[in-house]
Amino acid sequence: MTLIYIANQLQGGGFTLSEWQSEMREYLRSEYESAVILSAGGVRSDVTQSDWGYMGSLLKKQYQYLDSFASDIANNPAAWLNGNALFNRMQLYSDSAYTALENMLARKMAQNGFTEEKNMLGTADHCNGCLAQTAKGWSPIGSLVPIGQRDCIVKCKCAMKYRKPTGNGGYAYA
Amino acid sequence: MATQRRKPLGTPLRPIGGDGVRIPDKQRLAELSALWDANCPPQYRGLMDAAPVSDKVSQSRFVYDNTRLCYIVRKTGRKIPQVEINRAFAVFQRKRKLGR
Repeated sequence: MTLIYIANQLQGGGFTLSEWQSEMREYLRSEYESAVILSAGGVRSDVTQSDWGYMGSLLKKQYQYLDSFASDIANNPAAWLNGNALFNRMQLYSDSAYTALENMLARKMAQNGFTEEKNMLGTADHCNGCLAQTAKGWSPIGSLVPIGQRDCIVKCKCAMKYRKPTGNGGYAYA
Repeated sequence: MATQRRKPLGTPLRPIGGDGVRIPDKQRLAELSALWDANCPPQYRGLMDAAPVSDKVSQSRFVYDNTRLCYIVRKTGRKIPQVEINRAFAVFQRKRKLGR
Protein backbone atom coordinates (compact mmCIF):
# COMPACT_ATOMS: atom_id res chain seq x y z
CA MET A 1 0.00 0.00 0.00
CA THR A 2 1.58 3.30 -1.06
CA LEU A 3 1.62 6.39 1.11
CA ILE A 4 -0.44 8.34 -1.39
CA TYR A 5 -3.07 5.59 -1.39
CA ILE A 6 -3.28 5.77 2.40
CA ALA A 7 -3.74 9.56 2.16
CA ASN A 8 -6.39 9.25 -0.55
CA GLN A 9 -8.31 6.66 1.43
CA LEU A 10 -8.59 8.97 4.42
CA GLN A 11 -9.54 11.95 2.29
CA GLY A 12 -12.04 9.94 0.24
CA GLY A 13 -13.74 8.37 3.23
CA GLY A 14 -12.41 4.85 2.59
CA PHE A 15 -10.56 4.82 5.92
CA THR A 16 -11.64 5.99 9.32
CA LEU A 17 -9.06 7.97 11.26
CA SER A 18 -8.11 4.95 13.33
CA GLU A 19 -7.71 2.79 10.21
CA TRP A 20 -5.51 5.46 8.67
CA GLN A 21 -3.43 5.67 11.83
CA SER A 22 -3.07 1.91 11.93
CA GLU A 23 -1.91 1.82 8.29
CA MET A 24 0.53 4.65 8.96
CA ARG A 25 2.00 2.81 11.93
CA GLU A 26 2.50 -0.30 9.83
CA TYR A 27 3.98 1.74 6.98
CA LEU A 28 6.46 3.44 9.30
CA ARG A 29 7.32 0.22 11.06
CA SER A 30 8.24 -1.46 7.79
CA GLU A 31 10.36 1.54 6.73
CA TYR A 32 12.27 1.55 10.01
CA GLU A 33 12.69 -2.21 10.01
CA SER A 34 14.05 -2.02 6.46
CA ALA A 35 16.48 0.67 7.55
CA VAL A 36 17.81 -1.31 10.51
CA ILE A 37 18.19 -4.47 8.43
CA LEU A 38 20.06 -2.59 5.69
CA SER A 39 22.35 -0.95 8.21
CA ALA A 40 23.11 -4.32 9.79
CA GLY A 41 23.94 -6.26 6.63
CA GLY A 42 20.65 -7.85 5.61
CA VAL A 43 18.16 -10.33 7.01
CA ARG A 44 20.78 -13.08 7.34
CA SER A 45 23.03 -10.93 9.49
CA ASP A 46 22.79 -10.78 13.21
CA VAL A 47 20.66 -7.77 13.86
CA THR A 48 21.20 -7.52 17.59
CA GLN A 49 18.64 -7.03 20.30
CA SER A 50 20.30 -3.70 20.90
CA ASP A 51 19.82 -2.71 17.21
CA TRP A 52 16.12 -3.53 17.41
CA GLY A 53 15.87 -1.67 20.69
CA TYR A 54 17.50 1.39 19.20
CA MET A 55 15.18 1.25 16.20
CA GLY A 56 12.26 0.87 18.60
CA SER A 57 13.20 4.03 20.43
CA LEU A 58 13.32 5.98 17.16
CA LEU A 59 10.07 4.47 15.93
CA LYS A 60 8.26 5.11 19.18
CA LYS A 61 9.04 8.79 18.82
CA GLN A 62 7.46 8.76 15.35
CA TYR A 63 4.38 6.96 16.72
CA GLN A 64 4.01 9.75 19.26
CA TYR A 65 4.23 12.40 16.53
CA LEU A 66 1.71 10.39 14.53
CA ASP A 67 -0.71 10.27 17.47
CA SER A 68 -0.45 14.02 17.71
CA PHE A 69 -1.05 14.33 13.94
CA ALA A 70 -4.18 12.16 14.26
CA SER A 71 -5.46 14.45 17.00
CA ASP A 72 -4.84 17.47 14.76
CA ILE A 73 -6.92 15.82 12.02
CA ALA A 74 -9.73 14.94 14.44
CA ASN A 75 -9.78 18.50 15.79
CA ASN A 76 -9.79 20.20 12.40
CA PRO A 77 -10.77 17.78 9.63
CA ALA A 78 -11.39 20.53 7.09
CA ALA A 79 -7.74 21.54 7.20
CA TRP A 80 -6.52 18.05 6.36
CA LEU A 81 -9.15 16.26 4.32
CA ASN A 82 -8.85 18.55 1.31
CA GLY A 83 -5.78 19.49 -0.67
CA ASN A 84 -2.19 18.37 -0.28
CA ALA A 85 -1.50 19.26 3.35
CA LEU A 86 -2.26 15.73 4.57
CA PHE A 87 0.06 13.96 2.11
CA ASN A 88 2.79 16.56 2.54
CA ARG A 89 2.85 16.03 6.29
CA MET A 90 2.62 12.24 5.91
CA GLN A 91 5.73 12.33 3.73
CA LEU A 92 7.75 13.78 6.61
CA TYR A 93 7.11 10.62 8.62
CA SER A 94 8.34 8.47 5.79
CA ASP A 95 11.36 10.73 5.24
CA SER A 96 12.33 10.29 8.86
CA ALA A 97 13.27 6.66 8.08
CA TYR A 98 16.15 7.93 5.92
CA THR A 99 17.57 9.88 8.84
CA ALA A 100 16.98 6.81 11.01
CA LEU A 101 19.07 4.74 8.58
CA GLU A 102 21.89 7.27 8.94
CA ASN A 103 21.57 7.28 12.73
CA MET A 104 21.75 3.49 12.83
CA LEU A 105 24.79 3.46 10.55
CA ALA A 106 26.60 6.07 12.63
CA ARG A 107 25.93 4.03 15.75
CA LYS A 108 27.18 0.83 14.12
CA MET A 109 30.32 2.49 12.78
CA ALA A 110 31.22 3.93 16.18
CA GLN A 111 30.65 0.52 17.79
CA ASN A 112 33.01 -1.06 15.27
CA GLY A 113 35.96 1.24 15.77
CA PHE A 114 35.43 3.79 13.01
CA THR A 115 36.78 7.07 14.26
CA GLU A 116 36.06 9.69 11.61
CA GLU A 117 33.09 10.82 9.57
CA LYS A 118 32.59 13.09 6.59
CA ASN A 119 29.38 14.55 5.19
CA MET A 120 28.56 13.86 1.55
CA LEU A 121 25.95 16.10 -0.06
CA GLY A 122 23.03 14.27 -1.61
CA THR A 123 21.29 14.91 -4.91
CA ALA A 124 19.06 17.75 -3.72
CA ASP A 125 19.09 21.42 -2.91
CA HIS A 126 21.37 21.87 0.05
CA CYS A 127 20.56 23.73 3.25
CA ASN A 128 23.15 25.92 4.96
CA GLY A 129 23.51 23.35 7.72
CA CYS A 130 24.49 20.59 5.30
CA LEU A 131 26.91 22.88 3.44
CA ALA A 132 28.55 23.84 6.74
CA GLN A 133 28.94 20.19 7.84
CA THR A 134 30.38 19.24 4.45
CA ALA A 135 32.93 22.06 4.63
CA LYS A 136 34.39 20.52 7.80
CA GLY A 137 35.70 17.51 5.87
CA TRP A 138 36.89 14.49 7.86
CA SER A 139 35.99 15.02 11.52
CA PRO A 140 35.95 12.91 14.70
CA ILE A 141 32.95 10.57 14.65
CA GLY A 142 29.97 12.08 16.42
CA SER A 143 31.23 15.65 16.05
CA LEU A 144 29.21 16.62 12.95
CA VAL A 145 25.59 17.64 13.34
CA PRO A 146 23.68 14.43 12.57
CA ILE A 147 21.57 14.07 9.45
CA GLY A 148 18.00 14.95 10.37
CA GLN A 149 19.04 17.65 12.86
CA ARG A 150 20.11 20.34 10.39
CA ASP A 151 18.06 23.11 8.74
CA CYS A 152 16.47 20.70 6.26
CA ILE A 153 15.47 18.32 9.11
CA VAL A 154 14.08 15.03 7.73
CA LYS A 155 14.23 16.25 4.13
CA CYS A 156 17.99 15.71 4.16
CA LYS A 157 19.45 13.51 1.44
CA CYS A 158 23.07 13.69 2.56
CA ALA A 159 25.06 10.61 3.53
CA MET A 160 28.03 10.08 5.81
CA LYS A 161 31.31 8.38 5.01
CA TYR A 162 33.31 6.68 7.74
CA ARG A 163 36.93 5.66 8.16
CA LYS A 164 39.35 4.34 10.76
CA PRO A 165 43.14 4.24 10.85
CA THR A 166 44.71 0.94 9.79
CA GLY A 167 47.87 1.41 11.85
CA ASN A 168 50.23 1.77 8.89
CA GLY A 169 49.40 5.37 8.18
CA GLY A 170 46.41 4.56 5.99
CA TYR A 171 42.69 4.33 6.54
CA ALA A 172 40.02 1.68 6.14
CA TYR A 173 36.82 3.09 4.69
CA ALA A 174 33.30 1.75 5.29
CA MET B 1 -24.47 2.19 -9.89
CA ALA B 2 -23.98 2.09 -6.14
CA THR B 3 -21.69 4.73 -4.70
CA GLN B 4 -19.27 3.87 -1.91
CA ARG B 5 -20.48 5.18 1.41
CA ARG B 6 -18.07 7.52 3.12
CA LYS B 7 -16.91 6.18 6.46
CA PRO B 8 -17.23 8.54 9.43
CA LEU B 9 -13.87 9.99 10.49
CA GLY B 10 -14.14 8.61 14.01
CA THR B 11 -11.56 9.06 16.74
CA PRO B 12 -7.80 8.44 16.81
CA LEU B 13 -6.29 5.25 18.19
CA ARG B 14 -4.97 5.21 21.70
CA PRO B 15 -1.20 5.52 22.04
CA ILE B 16 0.69 2.23 21.84
CA GLY B 17 1.64 0.98 25.29
CA GLY B 18 5.08 -0.33 26.25
CA ASP B 19 7.71 0.13 23.58
CA GLY B 20 5.21 -1.00 20.92
CA VAL B 21 7.93 -2.64 18.88
CA ARG B 22 8.16 -6.34 18.16
CA ILE B 23 11.28 -8.06 16.90
CA PRO B 24 10.38 -9.44 13.45
CA ASP B 25 10.05 -13.21 13.08
CA LYS B 26 11.32 -15.15 10.05
CA GLN B 27 8.13 -14.61 8.08
CA ARG B 28 8.24 -10.88 8.71
CA LEU B 29 11.89 -10.74 7.62
CA ALA B 30 10.98 -12.55 4.39
CA GLU B 31 8.18 -10.03 3.80
CA LEU B 32 10.55 -7.12 4.36
CA SER B 33 13.06 -8.60 1.96
CA ALA B 34 10.28 -9.00 -0.66
CA LEU B 35 9.15 -5.42 0.00
CA TRP B 36 12.68 -4.22 -0.65
CA ASP B 37 12.99 -6.20 -3.87
CA ALA B 38 9.66 -4.84 -5.13
CA ASN B 39 10.60 -1.19 -4.57
CA CYS B 40 14.38 -0.82 -4.80
CA PRO B 41 16.32 -0.02 -7.99
CA PRO B 42 16.67 -3.30 -9.98
CA GLN B 43 20.44 -3.60 -9.51
CA TYR B 44 19.97 -3.82 -5.73
CA ARG B 45 17.41 -6.62 -5.70
CA GLY B 46 18.59 -9.28 -3.30
CA LEU B 47 20.61 -6.83 -1.20
CA MET B 48 18.60 -7.52 1.92
CA ASP B 49 19.18 -11.21 1.43
CA ALA B 50 22.97 -10.80 1.35
CA ALA B 51 24.87 -13.75 2.78
CA PRO B 52 27.73 -13.33 5.25
CA VAL B 53 31.04 -12.99 3.40
CA SER B 54 32.21 -16.26 4.97
CA ASP B 55 29.35 -18.19 3.35
CA LYS B 56 30.85 -19.78 0.24
CA VAL B 57 27.82 -22.00 -0.46
CA SER B 58 25.06 -19.43 -0.84
CA GLN B 59 24.12 -18.20 -4.31
CA SER B 60 23.01 -14.77 -3.12
CA ARG B 61 23.82 -11.82 -5.40
CA PHE B 62 25.41 -9.91 -2.53
CA VAL B 63 27.51 -10.69 0.48
CA TYR B 64 28.01 -8.59 3.58
CA ASP B 65 31.45 -8.10 5.10
CA ASN B 66 30.89 -7.71 8.82
CA THR B 67 34.47 -6.52 9.41
CA ARG B 68 34.53 -3.73 6.85
CA LEU B 69 30.78 -3.15 7.31
CA CYS B 70 29.99 -3.13 3.63
CA TYR B 71 28.03 -4.98 0.97
CA ILE B 72 29.90 -6.63 -1.90
CA VAL B 73 28.60 -7.80 -5.28
CA ARG B 74 29.42 -11.51 -5.20
CA LYS B 75 30.03 -11.87 -8.94
CA THR B 76 32.44 -8.97 -9.39
CA GLY B 77 33.76 -8.44 -5.87
CA ARG B 78 32.82 -4.77 -6.09
CA LYS B 79 32.41 -3.12 -2.72
CA ILE B 80 29.24 -1.01 -2.67
CA PRO B 81 29.88 2.40 -1.11
CA GLN B 82 27.51 3.40 1.66
CA VAL B 83 26.40 6.41 -0.38
CA GLU B 84 24.98 4.01 -2.98
CA ILE B 85 23.01 2.16 -0.33
CA ASN B 86 21.59 5.47 0.88
CA ARG B 87 20.54 6.43 -2.64
CA ALA B 88 18.92 3.03 -3.17
CA PHE B 89 17.03 3.46 0.09
CA ALA B 90 15.82 6.89 -1.04
CA VAL B 91 14.51 5.36 -4.28
CA PHE B 92 12.85 2.57 -2.28
CA GLN B 93 11.14 5.20 -0.14
CA ARG B 94 9.98 7.26 -3.11
CA LYS B 95 8.47 4.22 -4.82
CA ARG B 96 6.70 3.22 -1.64
CA LYS B 97 5.26 6.71 -1.35
CA LEU B 98 4.07 7.16 -4.89
CA GLY B 99 4.08 3.70 -6.47
CA ARG B 100 6.54 4.82 -9.14
